[in-house]
Amino acid sequence: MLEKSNIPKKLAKTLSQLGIFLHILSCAFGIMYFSFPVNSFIFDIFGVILIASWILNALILLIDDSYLNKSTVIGKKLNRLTYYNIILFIIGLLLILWGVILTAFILDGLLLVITFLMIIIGFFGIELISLQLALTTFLNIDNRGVCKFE
Amino acid sequence: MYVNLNKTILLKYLKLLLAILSFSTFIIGIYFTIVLFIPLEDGISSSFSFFITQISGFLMFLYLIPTILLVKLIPTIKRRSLVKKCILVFGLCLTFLNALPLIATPISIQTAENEFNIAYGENWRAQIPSTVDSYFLPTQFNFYNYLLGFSHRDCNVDTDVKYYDNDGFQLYFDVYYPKSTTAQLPGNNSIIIKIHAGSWQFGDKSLGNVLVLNKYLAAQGYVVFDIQYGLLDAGGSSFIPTPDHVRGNLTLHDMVYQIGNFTKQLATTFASTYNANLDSVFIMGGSAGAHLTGVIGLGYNDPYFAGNFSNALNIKGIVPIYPPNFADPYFTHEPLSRLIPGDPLSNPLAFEKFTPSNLADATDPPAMIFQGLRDDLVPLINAETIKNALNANGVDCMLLTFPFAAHASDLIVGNTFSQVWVYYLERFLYLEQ
Repeated sequence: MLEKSNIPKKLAKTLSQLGIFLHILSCAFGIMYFSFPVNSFIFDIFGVILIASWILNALILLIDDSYLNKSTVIGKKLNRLTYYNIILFIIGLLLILWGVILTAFILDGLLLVITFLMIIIGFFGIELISLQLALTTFLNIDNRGVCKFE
Repeated sequence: MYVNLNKTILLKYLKLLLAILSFSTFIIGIYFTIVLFIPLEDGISSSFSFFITQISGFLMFLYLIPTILLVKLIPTIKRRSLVKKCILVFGLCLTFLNALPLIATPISIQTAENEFNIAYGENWRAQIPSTVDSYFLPTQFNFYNYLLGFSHRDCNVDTDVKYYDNDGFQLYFDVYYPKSTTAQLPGNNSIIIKIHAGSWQFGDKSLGNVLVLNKYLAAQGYVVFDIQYGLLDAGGSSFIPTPDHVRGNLTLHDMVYQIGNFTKQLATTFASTYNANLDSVFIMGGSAGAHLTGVIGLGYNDPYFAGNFSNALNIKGIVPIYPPNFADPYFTHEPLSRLIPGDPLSNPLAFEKFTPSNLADATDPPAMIFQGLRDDLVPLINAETIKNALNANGVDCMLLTFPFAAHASDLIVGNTFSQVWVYYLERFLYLEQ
């Protein structure tokens, strides 16, 4: 039987593990998609993984905020990482959003290439910074004093 | 010590800045969410509603992440936990409300399925060979097209081809056509004439006429003619880019005449230049362009427009996108009243003939209509009237409705509405060609 106090710890561990898996998968699919941008059932799976990984990143941020012991050195560093994650996530999202809007109104040329680059940079930026957060959370969860699950 | 103090102050200000930015996002979020659900009269809100409904999936993340940021920025002191919870609940509410257009996608799909089942029978997918189906969108909606832009194959584009030079007006079109002339593509070189939106006063081909869809359809084997037509210059201004050379003191008769002129040149010259199939022609347009699509597509065989269009075109279908239907009241108030000389009493025939539903008869081509249910500029009743008129004459007319879609909700092709729309549009075009 799981002790009640162990449930948040288990949950955080599972979510960060899942986050690592989904972000890596999402990056792999992203490379495939940007190399061969066709409409396919395979990429339907990619779409679901993509949105799930973003939601998971938000959940990991919430868990880190709730259980992180910010008075320890590692806790402090991890807390700082969550701020970077939030800011870069927003910048990445805005890059993708503007890229998507602009591609709808540009026929061809350099400007179109720039908008595609905006989308690609935004996507990989979000995925990599989210992967870093999930990985750092997972690796530090068992370190004594980093998290306050009790 | 001094450096540490500076760092602490810097961090404090940085956190304050982040808190202000997060609160600003909340305030903008509240306004955008109101615009998403409630039609507001002022021009700016109306313009915002065109785009907000199409990007609400992005906005929901843009509200969710600052919510977490704000929660983090409030120090964990017992008496402040209620504030934290309130912020969290409020942010999650904003996020959820902006997710509703995405959540409502199955409703649009079900409506479209029902319309197709009625028009082509429940087994309509069997009429599309798998070799053809492989060119189409595999599913009605997917997240990658929504979040990373609508993917499409490449095509050829010729821009600014002149088709009209008369009365001081020079009009041009862009043509999108397949790269390969040998591949057996679903479009079979069928022609699509695209007429842009802009309340008969503004707008242009290309940028203002959903060019991603033009490219997508051309890559499928269609020859898409994205045309300009003369516009009424009533002196107003708009955020919609409009070339000066197409504006003048024009009426609807002039516009239909100019487009009729295009059909004649299409038959004599352009069809052979671009290897386009005159025996399979579709007319498509949004808003004002949808009105003209209705007038031309349904009035093609009407004696009122006799001699205006080329007889060589075989119109297989029309695609009005959020179409205005009623000449009265649309053309009875300034400045649009200038589009039809006189009024419904002094010039009843013109008002009758520029109401597309009045032109419906049994020989008309089938239609597929896009209609947003949150469209406060052109409400649902317009599309319903056209559909009922065609159905009453035994002509298929599929009305695809989209909850939360405002006017011009098809501009960003990867959005929730457009993906469903394109999925059924490409199948409609194939089945009717």
